[in-house]
Amino acid sequence: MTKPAQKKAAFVFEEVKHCYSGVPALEKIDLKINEGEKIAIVGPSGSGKSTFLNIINASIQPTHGNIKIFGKDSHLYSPKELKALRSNISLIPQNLALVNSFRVWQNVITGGIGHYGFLKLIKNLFAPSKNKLADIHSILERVGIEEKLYSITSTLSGGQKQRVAVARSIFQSPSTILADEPVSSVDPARAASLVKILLKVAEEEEATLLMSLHNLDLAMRHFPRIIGIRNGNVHFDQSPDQISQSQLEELYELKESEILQDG
Amino acid sequence: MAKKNITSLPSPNVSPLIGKRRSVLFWISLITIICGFLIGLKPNNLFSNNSLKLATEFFKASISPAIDYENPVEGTEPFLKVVAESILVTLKFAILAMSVSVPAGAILAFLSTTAWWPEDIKSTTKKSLLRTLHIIARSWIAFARSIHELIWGIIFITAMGLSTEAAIVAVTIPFSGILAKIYAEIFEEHSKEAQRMFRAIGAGYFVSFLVGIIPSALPDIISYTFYRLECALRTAAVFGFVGIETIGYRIKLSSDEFHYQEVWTYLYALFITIALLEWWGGKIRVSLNNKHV
Repeated sequence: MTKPAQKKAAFVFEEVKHCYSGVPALEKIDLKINEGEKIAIVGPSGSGKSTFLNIINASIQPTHGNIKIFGKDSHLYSPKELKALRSNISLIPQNLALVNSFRVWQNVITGGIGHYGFLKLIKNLFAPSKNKLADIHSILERVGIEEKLYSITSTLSGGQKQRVAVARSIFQSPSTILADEPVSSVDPARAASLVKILLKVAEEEEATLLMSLHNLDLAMRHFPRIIGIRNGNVHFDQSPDQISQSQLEELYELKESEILQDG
Repeated sequence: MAKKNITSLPSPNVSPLIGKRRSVLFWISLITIICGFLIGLKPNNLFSNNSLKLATEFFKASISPAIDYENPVEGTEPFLKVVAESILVTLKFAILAMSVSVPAGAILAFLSTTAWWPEDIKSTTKKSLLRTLHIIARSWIAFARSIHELIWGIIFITAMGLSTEAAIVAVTIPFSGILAKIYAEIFEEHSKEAQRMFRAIGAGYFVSFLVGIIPSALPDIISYTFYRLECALRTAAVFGFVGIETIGYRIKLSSDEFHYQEVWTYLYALFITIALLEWWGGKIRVSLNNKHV
């Protein structure tokens, strides 16, 4: 009998701690994320979710402990290797970080910025080949905004801009997609639609997906694994059916100092 | 919790700033009077008989600008052709000065801004090199800006002789410094979100800056560059008074001969040129801003 293929560990946190000017943002995180996993990271504002994602793409190095990225300690990556690593991990930030004056196809092309040299980037941004435009068109079809190929990005709605950010991410052909609260500023229907698109893209591209979310309901309905972070610690790391109501309540419980006293 | 005694708060009808404003106004007025006294200002000079007569003649001429020489000399080129040519020379001077100042300013801005600097720079050699370049660029910008283009003009014309080249170098030095300062401030004020994102997905520092900052900063950069082009046009006119054959040179010749109607024709021509430039710049600004909604 053949054993099912075991998934490789993509990211292994070993007692990871990170402080900003002495103030801890993450405290002693130990966990493993396998290639191809779809994970929602939930927790209150300031709990350390963004720091967690920034450590994954080695944008920041933990102040204590270690993180193994694709089997290698993050601090052992040379600058060249780090560049290659990052070009393989896409990021969709909360503000989407689109260049508003660019046309949609130009913003999608910026997804390949880590793969291109300076001259190739300029050529692709200002004189792309027909094949490149055809590729971008088919990516936009996948996210449902192919008719916006030549539109100026600033003229799009919030929901359409989010799809451009997803298209940019697809264009990057990443092995990991990081999304840092990408749906925090849209209505529930659009938020659910974007989460579904991202999950579908990650499935098709066989990419690992890590998405930080404020919307617990979205996380519980769509993700097989949920990591709850509170005060820089992993509060729970389970599948939705294993998470109890009390764990969720504790996750979002306000600290005494955060509660406004009346009178 | 004990409530504050609201009677101790200032009445909402009385702004606590009013007293402060009055005091600022008083000090500004006092300083103006003292400065005027120290430099020997005599306001009654403005209203002496001769001054008033000249001023009246000058402003009266504004309603009937010349379309021909007030004192025609046979064999000279038609007056309006001379006006058009002097405007063209002034424009050429300004454009040439700007075409050197803009790239020089952009390079100096890049060297003097920290907007593209790596956040996680580890190498001390790289850090020191960047800091040194930064300090040199900032110092040069401050030095170039601190001296007015006319003073630079006098220096260069004295050193190189009266030539358009010397005047253009004289304009380029302070203008590139001013452009560099403003460009650098624009780079630093713009949102760094796209730049950070590009860094996070593997782009280099320069490319992240180029794609993440420049496109969004472009409308402000173009807007300010157009304003400086207007300034360059005015400066070109002023250089005419030291002998460079721009419109200022013609204004001075006519003015020396008290041909005020000719002076007004030159002034109106200059005004129309600057207004057209302003209109064109505005059109470009609007089209760029529409992309940045």
